[in-house]
Amino acid sequence: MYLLVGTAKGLFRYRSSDRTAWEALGPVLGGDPIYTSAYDATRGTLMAAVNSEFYGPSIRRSKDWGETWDTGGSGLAYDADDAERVTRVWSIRPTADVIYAGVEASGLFRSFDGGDTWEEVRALRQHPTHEQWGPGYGGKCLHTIALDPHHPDWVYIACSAGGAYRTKDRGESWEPINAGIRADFMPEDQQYPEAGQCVHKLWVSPSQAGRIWLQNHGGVYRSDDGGDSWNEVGKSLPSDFGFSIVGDPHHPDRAYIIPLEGWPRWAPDNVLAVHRTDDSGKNWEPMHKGLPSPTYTGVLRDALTADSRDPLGIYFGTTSGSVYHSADGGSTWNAVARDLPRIYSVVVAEE
Amino acid sequence: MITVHLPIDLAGQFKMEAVLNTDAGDLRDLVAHLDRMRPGMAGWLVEADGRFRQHLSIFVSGRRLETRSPASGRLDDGADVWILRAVSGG
Repeated sequence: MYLLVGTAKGLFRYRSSDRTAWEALGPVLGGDPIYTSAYDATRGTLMAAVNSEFYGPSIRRSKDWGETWDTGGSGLAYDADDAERVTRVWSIRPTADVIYAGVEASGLFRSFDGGDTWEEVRALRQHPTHEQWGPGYGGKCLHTIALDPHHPDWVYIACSAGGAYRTKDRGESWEPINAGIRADFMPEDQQYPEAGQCVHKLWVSPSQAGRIWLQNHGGVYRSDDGGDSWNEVGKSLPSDFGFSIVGDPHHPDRAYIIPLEGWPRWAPDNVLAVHRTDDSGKNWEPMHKGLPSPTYTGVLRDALTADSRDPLGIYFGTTSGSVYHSADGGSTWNAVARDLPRIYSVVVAEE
Repeated sequence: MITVHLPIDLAGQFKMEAVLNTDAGDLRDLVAHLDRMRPGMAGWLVEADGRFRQHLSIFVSGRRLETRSPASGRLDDGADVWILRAVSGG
């Protein structure tokens, strides 16, 4: 198993055979911001979103776990006369027959040839609600792409600040799925718009059809109908603000979040903790055994993840450059790395 | 014939010499030539609108082009073109 840590200054790799001892393989793509990475198991390819300040965004590929990289494919740009430009890649989601990529300014691309060439999924930005999308603090970005194993033609995306959308026909048409999600940065009488919410992350359960967990810019939500409606489930948390959320693929009622103060976006009372619910969001238990305290750090939207094992392995990276993991569902934590650059993403790659 | 100087790191990524000669008549030809040599390189240098990327500095025969200049200006025979990483970042 590999742990891929995308940072402001390169991609850091760790390898383990037992989820206890982690071997550091060293940084690659040094100096460039790596917003996310992905392992394409179908093609045996590691992919990295390299957002060079000099040479722009690219999705580069490695066939040897990051030792060597190509220079990426072509087509990752909007048309010359488009009012928007592609400035960064935020998300990569490989599937057996297509690879999706989410970019800034918010939009979706796909590749049918393993990343050699990319084309925009135009119907998304052509949706009438596109004009309601704006930039969040981190940019106007399509940061989440989720597949639905119960509906192979369905894809979910989330963008900040644009909200969540769903297609049931592999991208030919899209519908906003934000009913009941609050936009608390809007005037009081406009806080439940059709689109424009600052959804920070969503996670689709593979074990219960229709179940989606969502961390909003203010509010933790759960849907049991594929996003048609949402229930706010984070009222008992010390803060309902956060960036990341991940579910347990084996237990649909279980999910994990890392609450942060709305400002300055570090852990409430400076106690860095992963909060777990086992009852669909009614109750949340803070888990921080083994984590440092006090801390003055945050965890960004793609920096919390899990593996596929049971008990679940959970991993997260902080804005101050530490990586922690738990091999027992969050009960105890150990450091994988410290003093890395600012961490944007943590990705598990299982062969 | 013109001479092109590429950033060392860019040349390394694309596994090519950092200094090369071409007979491009303008900057558009030059970028197209580089992209033929190493497919995809054009996107690293120039955005979809045909202008050089913001954090690249382009010098043509000693004269620095304005930031985000169009990649289209004429190149005289014997011109020296330097493509440099701008002084930016942290």
